[in-house]
Amino acid sequence: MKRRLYLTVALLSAALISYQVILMHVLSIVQWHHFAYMIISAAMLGFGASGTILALFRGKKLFQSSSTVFILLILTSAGILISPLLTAVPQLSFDSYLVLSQISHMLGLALSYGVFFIPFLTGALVMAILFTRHTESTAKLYFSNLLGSAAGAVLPLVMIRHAAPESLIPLAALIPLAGAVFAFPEKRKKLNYAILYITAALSVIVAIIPPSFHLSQYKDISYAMNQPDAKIRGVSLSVHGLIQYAETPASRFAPGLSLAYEGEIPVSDTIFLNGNTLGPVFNSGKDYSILSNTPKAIPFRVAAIDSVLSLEAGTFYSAFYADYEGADRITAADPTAEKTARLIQKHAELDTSAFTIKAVDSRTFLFTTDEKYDLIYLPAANTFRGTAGLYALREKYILTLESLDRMMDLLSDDGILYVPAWTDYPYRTSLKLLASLSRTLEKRGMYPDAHIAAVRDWNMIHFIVSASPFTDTQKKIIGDFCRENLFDIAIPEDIQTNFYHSLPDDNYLNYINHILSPKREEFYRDYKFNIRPATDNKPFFLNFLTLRSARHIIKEGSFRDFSFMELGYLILVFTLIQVSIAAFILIILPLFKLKKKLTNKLFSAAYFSCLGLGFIFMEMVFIQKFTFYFGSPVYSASFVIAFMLFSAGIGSRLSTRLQTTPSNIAKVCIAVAALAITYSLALDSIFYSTVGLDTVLKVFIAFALILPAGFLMGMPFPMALSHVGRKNPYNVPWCWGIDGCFSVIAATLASVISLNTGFTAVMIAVSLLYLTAALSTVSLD
Amino acid sequence: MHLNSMKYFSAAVIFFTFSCCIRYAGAAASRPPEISGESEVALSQDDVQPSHPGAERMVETQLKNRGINNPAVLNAMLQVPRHRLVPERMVSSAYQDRPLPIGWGQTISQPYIVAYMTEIVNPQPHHRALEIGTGSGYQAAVLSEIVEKVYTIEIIEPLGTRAKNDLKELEYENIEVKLADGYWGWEEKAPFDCIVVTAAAEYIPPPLVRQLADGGKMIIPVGHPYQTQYLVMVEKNGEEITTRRLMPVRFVPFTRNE
Repeated sequence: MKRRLYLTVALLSAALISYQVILMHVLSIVQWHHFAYMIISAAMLGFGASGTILALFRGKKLFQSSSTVFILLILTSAGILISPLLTAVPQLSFDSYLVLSQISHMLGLALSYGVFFIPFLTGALVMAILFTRHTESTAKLYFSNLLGSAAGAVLPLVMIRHAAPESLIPLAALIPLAGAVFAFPEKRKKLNYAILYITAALSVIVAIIPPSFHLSQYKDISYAMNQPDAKIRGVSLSVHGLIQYAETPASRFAPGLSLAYEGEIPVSDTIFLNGNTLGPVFNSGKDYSILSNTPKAIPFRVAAIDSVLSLEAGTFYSAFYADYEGADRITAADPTAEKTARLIQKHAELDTSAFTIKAVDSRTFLFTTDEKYDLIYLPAANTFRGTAGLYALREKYILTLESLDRMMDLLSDDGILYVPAWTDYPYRTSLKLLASLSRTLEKRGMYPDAHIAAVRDWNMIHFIVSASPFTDTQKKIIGDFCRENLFDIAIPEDIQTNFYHSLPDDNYLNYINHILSPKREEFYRDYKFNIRPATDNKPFFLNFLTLRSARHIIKEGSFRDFSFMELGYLILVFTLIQVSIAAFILIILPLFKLKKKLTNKLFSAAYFSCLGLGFIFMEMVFIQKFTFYFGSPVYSASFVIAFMLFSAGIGSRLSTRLQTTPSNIAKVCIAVAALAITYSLALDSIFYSTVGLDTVLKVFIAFALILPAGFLMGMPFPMALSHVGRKNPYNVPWCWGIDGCFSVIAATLASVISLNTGFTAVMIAVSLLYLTAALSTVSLD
Repeated sequence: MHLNSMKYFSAAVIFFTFSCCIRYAGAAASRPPEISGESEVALSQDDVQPSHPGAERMVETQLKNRGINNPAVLNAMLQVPRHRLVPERMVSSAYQDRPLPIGWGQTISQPYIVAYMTEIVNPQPHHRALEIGTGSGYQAAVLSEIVEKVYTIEIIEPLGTRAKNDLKELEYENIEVKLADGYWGWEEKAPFDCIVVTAAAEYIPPPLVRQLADGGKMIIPVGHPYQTQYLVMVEKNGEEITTRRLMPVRFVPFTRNE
C-alpha cells in the first residue's frame, strides 16, 4: 500500500520537474527566451497556492475522498496535455516582441502563465493531500518526492535527444498518468479505467501526431523562410536545441565588408539553432574568400599564421576562411560542432575534415588544451545589431578576464587574438571589450596600447591583440589595408583615423583613449554604463546597468532610452515585483484567516522565509556556476537540480533519525552556513583544476560537490515542519506557504543580486540566511 | 491481488507506450515548423482623405516637435493616407507614434523614422529614388510625393503584391514595384539620386553602391525593425565613399502619444 503511495509521489514529482524543463526548451524554440523565471515562478506559485487551498478547505469532504488524488492526477496530465495549444494556435500564443505593445499578446502571455500554472497547482495539491493524510510518513514521502524530482530533471535530457520538440509535452503528460495507476480508487473502477485510458490514448496520439509550432514571425528562421525558394533541408536534435539546415538562396553573409569591394557576395545557406541564426554555409570553399575583404583578414596580413583556433565556431565560417588562407592546423570548438559539421557535409558537400572539431563549450575547451595557436578567432562580442538588452542576464564566460587571460596563454610568441564587436550607441559593448582586453594585458605586464590594434568599418569595431608589441612594419600594413578597404583605425593612437566612417558623436575615440590611459578607473566610475570587465564571479558581459547607473540615467531623464536597451534587466526587476506581489496575494494573504489558530508565528515567518530564500539561492548559484563547469546551461540545470534534490532527499530521509529539537535544528543550519562559505572560497579552484576532465568524470565530481549541500539542506525543512506540526497542525500550511512564497521570490532575487554583486555575494547571503534561521530557533518551545 | 496485477499491468502498458512514443516521435522531427504571417488585406473601404486628421496631428506632435522641418517632407507625410496602408485591424492605430506589424515579420515604420529617413536623403523633385524593402508601400508613397519617380523592390511576394495593389488603388502612378531580391538593386533604372533601404542589413550591397549616382545618398537602418534602429548614411562623391552613423532613432513600445 505504502509502496504504491511512494511510487505515485515519485512519478508525479518526476512529471512536474520534467514538464518545467521541457517547457523551457520548447519556449526557447518558439520564442527567443526560455522564460525560465516565468515557468519556475508558475511552478512555485502552484505549490504555494496548493498549500493555501488545503489549509483553508482541508475539512471539506472533497479533500478526504479516495478519488480526489486520482482525479487530480488525471487533471495534471490533462493540464500538461493542453499546453501545446499555446505554441500551436496563433490566436492563443504570444510573441515576446509584441507583448509590450499589443493587448492580445499581453493576454496571450497571461493565458500561457495561467495554463502553465494549472498542472503545477493540481500536482502540488496531490502532494499536499498525501503529505497531510500520511503525516507519519512525511520523511519517506519527502524522500520519494525529491528522488522523483531528481529523475524528472534528467529525463528531459534523454527525451530532447530522441523526440521531436513538438512531441515532448504530450510525452510528459504520460508520467502523471503512470502515477495515477498507483493511486487507483476502489470505487467506480470501470469509469476510472475509462478516464485513465482515454487520457493516455490522447497523450499518445498527440505525441505521435503533434501540432506544429507556431513560431514568432520575428524569429530569424521565419524571416528566412519568407524568402523565395527557401526551404529546410535537414534537422538535428540536440540538448542545446533544435538545429535546422536551410537552403536560403537570397541570404548573403559578409559582415565588415569593405565598401571598396565591387564584386559579388555569394549566396549562402543558413543553419539555425532554435530558430536563431547559428551562421552561414557557403556553397563552396572558395566563397569564403569574400572574408578577405573584411578586417578578419588583417591577422593573416600582419603575421605568419599556421595554427588557428576558432572559438564559438558556429557554422565554421572562421575555420573555412582560415583554411582558404592556408592555415595548416585549424581547431573549431562549439557545443553543437559535431552535429553542425554532419549537416554541412550532407547538405553543402563542404569538407570539414581539414579541421579538428571539438564539440565542447569554448571556455571549457580553453582548459583542455595546452597547444599554442598563431591566431584565435572569436565571434562578435554582442549579438547581431547590438540588441544586447534581451541577453543581459546570460552568462558569457568566454569574455571574462579569466577567459581572455587563458587565451593569451595559448597564443604563440607572435600570436594574435581577434575579436570584433558591433558598435552600439550609447557606446557600451566595444568599450567594455576594450576595457577587458586592456586589463588582461596589464595583468600580464604588457602595455595595452602597444599590443592592441582596432579597426572600424561602418558598423563594427575589430580588435586585433598581438602577443608581441606591434612593429612599425605591422602598423604600416594595417594602415595600408585600411586605406585600400576604406576602414578607419581606432588604435594605435598614433595612426588613428576618422575619415571614412563618422560616428554619432565625436567622443568615441576619446573614450577609447581614456581606457588605454592610466586614468581609466576614473573614467569607468564616471561613465553612465557599467563597462568594467566581466569576471567569472560576475560573467554578465552584456549587462551594462548597475543600480547606481540606473538611478543616474533615470535622474538624467533618459529612461526611455534605457528601458529597451537594458530590457533584460528591466524584465527581471518587473518580474521580481510581480512574483512578490502574486506570491503574497495567493499564498500568504489567505493564510491570515488561520491567524488565530497559529502558534510560533514569529519563528515560522523568520525560519521558513530564510529556508525558502536560502535553498533556492544556493541552487541558482550552483546552476550559474556549473554552467561554466559543464559548458552548457542545459546540463548544468539538469544535473544541479537532480543532484540537489536527490541529496536533499537523502538528507530529509535521514533527518528522521535525529531528534527534532531546536538545538539540533540550529546545528544543521549552522553547518549549512559554514558550508556556503566553504563553497564561496573553494569552488572556483576546484573548477579550474578539473574543468578539462571528461564529462562523465565531471558529473561525478559535480555530484560529490553538491552532495554535502543538498544533504544538509534537505534536513532543516522537514525537521522544523515536523516540530511545529506536532505542536499544532495548523502551523503546517502556514510554514509551507511562507517557504513557498519566498522560494517564488528567491529565483528572481538571486539573479538580481548576482548581476549587481556577483555569485560570491549570493553565497554569503545563503550563509547569513541559514545563520538567521539558526538564531530564530531560540524562540521555539 | 487481481486488482494489483491490473494496476502494475496498466503501469507497464503506459511506460511501454511512453518509450515507444519517444522512439517514434523522433520521426516527426524531420517536419519543418509551420511558419505563418498575417494575411489580412490592408485596405479599408473609406474614400481617400488627402489629409487625414490623424496625419495632421501626427505631423504636428511627432514630426515638427522632433525637428523635422523640410516642408516637402512634412507635406508628403500629411498627404499619404497611412491608414490605407496598414492591416485593417490596425487602422485605428495607423497614426500612432510607433511601428505596426504588417505580417511576415515586417513592420510599417514609425512615422518619425519614415520622415527622418526621407528628410536625410534630401529628395528633390527631379530625383529618381530607389527603395529596398517595399513592405506596406508607405515609404515609397511618401517619397513619390516629392520625387519624380520611385522604384521599389520587395522580396516577400505576398507583401509586394499587396503593396502594389494598394499603391495602384491610391493612384500613385510614379511608383514601380518589383518582386525581387533587393541585393541586386534595379540595374536598368540606375543611377539613383537617393536610395532608401528599409530592411536592416549587416553589409552594404556593392550593387547598390554602384547604382548610387555621384553625389547620391543612401540610408540603411541597422537593428531589429521592431526595436532599435541605428541609421547609417552612405554618401558617394566621385570615387570616395563615406558613411555617417546618425543618432539612433528609437522606438519605445510602451509609450503612446495618442
